[in-house]
Amino acid sequence: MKYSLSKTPLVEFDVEKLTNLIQNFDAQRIASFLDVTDLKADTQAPKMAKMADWAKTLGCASVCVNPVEAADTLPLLLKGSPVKECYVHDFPLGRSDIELKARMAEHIVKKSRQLRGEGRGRVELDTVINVGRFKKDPGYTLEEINAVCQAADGETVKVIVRSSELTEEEVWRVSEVVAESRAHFIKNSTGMDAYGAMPEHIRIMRQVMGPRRGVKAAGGISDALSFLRLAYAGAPQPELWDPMLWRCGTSAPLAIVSSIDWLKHRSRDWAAAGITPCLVCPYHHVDKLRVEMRELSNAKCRECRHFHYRTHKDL
Amino acid sequence: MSLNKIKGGYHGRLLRIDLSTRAIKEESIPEEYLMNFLGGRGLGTKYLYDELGPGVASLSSENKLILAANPLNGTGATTTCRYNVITKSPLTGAILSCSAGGHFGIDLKACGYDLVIFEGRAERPVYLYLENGRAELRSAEHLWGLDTHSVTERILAETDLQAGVACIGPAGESGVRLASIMNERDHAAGRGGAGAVMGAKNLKAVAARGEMKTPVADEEALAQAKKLWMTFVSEAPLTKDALKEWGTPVLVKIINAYGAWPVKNFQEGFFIDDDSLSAQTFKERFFVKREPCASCSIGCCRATRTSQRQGKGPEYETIWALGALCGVRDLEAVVHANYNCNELGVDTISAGGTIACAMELSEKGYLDRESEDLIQKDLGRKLRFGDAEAVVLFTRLLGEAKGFGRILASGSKSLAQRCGHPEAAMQVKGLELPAYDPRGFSGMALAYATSNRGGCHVRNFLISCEAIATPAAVSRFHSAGKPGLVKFYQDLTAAIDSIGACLFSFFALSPDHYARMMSAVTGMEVDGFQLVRAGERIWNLERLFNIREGLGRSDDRLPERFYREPLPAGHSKERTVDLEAMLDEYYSLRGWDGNGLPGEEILRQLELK
Repeated sequence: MKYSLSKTPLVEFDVEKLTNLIQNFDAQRIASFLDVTDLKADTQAPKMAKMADWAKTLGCASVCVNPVEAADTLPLLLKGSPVKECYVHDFPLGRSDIELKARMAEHIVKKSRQLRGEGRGRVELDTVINVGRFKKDPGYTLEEINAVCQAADGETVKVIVRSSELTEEEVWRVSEVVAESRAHFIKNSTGMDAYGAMPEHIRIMRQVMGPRRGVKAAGGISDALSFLRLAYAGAPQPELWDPMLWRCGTSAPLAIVSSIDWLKHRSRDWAAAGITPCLVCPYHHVDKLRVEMRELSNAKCRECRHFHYRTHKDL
Repeated sequence: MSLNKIKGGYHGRLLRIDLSTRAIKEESIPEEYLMNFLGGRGLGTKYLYDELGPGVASLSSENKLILAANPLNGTGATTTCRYNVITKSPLTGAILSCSAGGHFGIDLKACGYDLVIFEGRAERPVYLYLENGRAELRSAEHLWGLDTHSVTERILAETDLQAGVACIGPAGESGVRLASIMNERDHAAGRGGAGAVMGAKNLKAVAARGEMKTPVADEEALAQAKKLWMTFVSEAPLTKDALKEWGTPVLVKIINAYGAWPVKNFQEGFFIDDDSLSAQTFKERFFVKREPCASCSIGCCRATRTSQRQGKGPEYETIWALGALCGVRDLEAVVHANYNCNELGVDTISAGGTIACAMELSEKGYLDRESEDLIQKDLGRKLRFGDAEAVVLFTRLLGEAKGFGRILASGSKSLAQRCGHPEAAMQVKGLELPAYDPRGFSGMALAYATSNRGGCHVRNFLISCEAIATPAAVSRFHSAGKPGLVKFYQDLTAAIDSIGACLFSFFALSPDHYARMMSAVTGMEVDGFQLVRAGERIWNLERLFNIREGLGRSDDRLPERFYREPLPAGHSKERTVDLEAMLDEYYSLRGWDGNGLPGEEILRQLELK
């Protein structure tokens, strides 16, 4: 695919289109796109039980956790419900070799099926690519994604590309690789990267992945308006409002379903009030970036027509 | 309860007390009042509007003072302890309603009344004791002159140690127009001078102790709604973590980082040494323990102490008003000044706003001779920003209405006018502004200007989305969409105040959550839109009250500083306020004419005509 680098990222949202999105999503619909997530190192069984309860009550797509220990518990917690188990895979760095990744994927799927006893289609894997290898060898990335998909035995695979560590051009390229692979979704972030879901990256991913593959946004999504700004970028048309085409990972599902109710009052005004552009711009969040990435972001910032919003202008 | 459609939430009766004649009588509350005005603030407003003629002097015996319980008081739902005070403000001349926490609201409700209306003026100081449907006026001559803590102790000893006590301190007795009504010692119906109205009636306190249950229409639905509320309040970041861990001072660093934390009477917007006043410093040095209001799972309220004194707070607004606004960085002095205000019964925001105004007038050489002389006599030096000792001293003198405190006691607007420089008073409709510079938050600019009780943040806490991304983040600089959001927040806030929930609950809950709870308790099937509509009705009635008192568009205006003086530094640097276009749109959305007068059509729709 031929791509063109953007001068100004997606940080402004057409009021009518965003209003239309607000009006089309209620608490029930919005919940159906959520992967209820907790990937902390010390997540315990009571928290998983609580997440499972939220997901079943609200009608969320899945519960997303780390498979170690959780894979012993989660299948039983979700058994009998339509909520899927979602396990992060080789998380968060994705630096294991291909064979090991495949064996891990196979193990997770097998274990879940055994415990839950409800056959196929109950498990999802959010696998992390080796970003360092991708930068010099995209073919390796295609190979590792397909190996994981093969091992997953037909279960849904979402590919985490850690977009905060990629240049704009690399976001395009990695999206092309995922689109070429057997994976079902592309996903921007582990939620532990330099920054979370930015509409600009989600826009690029949707553009490359097309209307028949999934895009999952993750990282920092804790209210309905953030969700809808990402949907604006990643699922603007009704035909994309399908949990197999659009998904959001969040640790705050209650805040999201609560806040959509607020947006039903004065919907257009919420849309018109806008947002400070830098808050949703990938080039503003530079604190945790490598110096060369930071320089690229700063260069983008200096040319941006929204530069006056930037709090630290001394680039 | 003689109600037909409403099955719970109300006792359906009020207590009317004529202090002049000591006559006490019970009255039924018409059911349509409850259905249309919900309770608390709304119901009190309805009675005040109907019963108080225009032009009544706020501190005269003709003014009325209404204490109002709410339909959710006593249901056990989290954060539903609030009660309201409604009267005509002696500080603004406009309608005044205040909401306070603690447990007095639940006690008042448990005595079997939805409202208590005080009329007239007692010949000698009295206090009212309510107990399970009985009401008794008792002499308060032995309590007159005592501070709020001492009064509370004495009344608890005389009545019941579990009683709720709302009282005034020396400030209310002396007619200080910044006087508050304090309940459970340190919870304040703080703003606008309700304490002075109470003092003008020679009413020192109201104590309440009851065991009458709040009627509930559907116990099972209530249990479900309570569980739902608790789930959401227990999980939202602000109510789960921030407020619980740090209390309201958590906002100090957040708002200062926006460059919109008013410093030195709003001449600046960034406090260079915010560590000295931060929540971390506060917790490290003065925090004792959390002391939540009754029925509250958030627990933002803090017991504190210094080496000499103890009490509660200060809250965020107080740290700002008695700290940064006066250029003061000594947090211990702020804590002591806060204790002064609580014990003497003074609104901390207005106290800080008025002292800061005096500091600016003094530094610029604008103070009148009498004020200068009094300051010299009281303080022994000129008044300057950063003088922590002066803040402690003048909060005390203000509460006692002595020395220069007697001049401060009329508020910043009066002080600045007296000195010939009205522009130095940072107030709207006479009420001193709170801790968010409107140049850094466009929605708050409109919210301040249009607030029915004057410069106030809790009539419209739009800062929650402009600064803390709750329920969603919006641009703090854009004016587009803000008139509609201001209207919505005002209406919703009016409804929340009128059902008895704490405003902080809306960091976790949605309008539908409130409606679901009201439906369970009252048996009236309401949704979020109907609840907000009731809030709109209340807001419009408050507006009609103010219109009747002669207020209009010219009063929906911010101090000139915000239009003309850009902020000099920080992340709101060079910003000013552009209000007029937003105001026009706001009036239009409300169905008001260009002068801010509610039109026939909206009044008809709201059944106010």
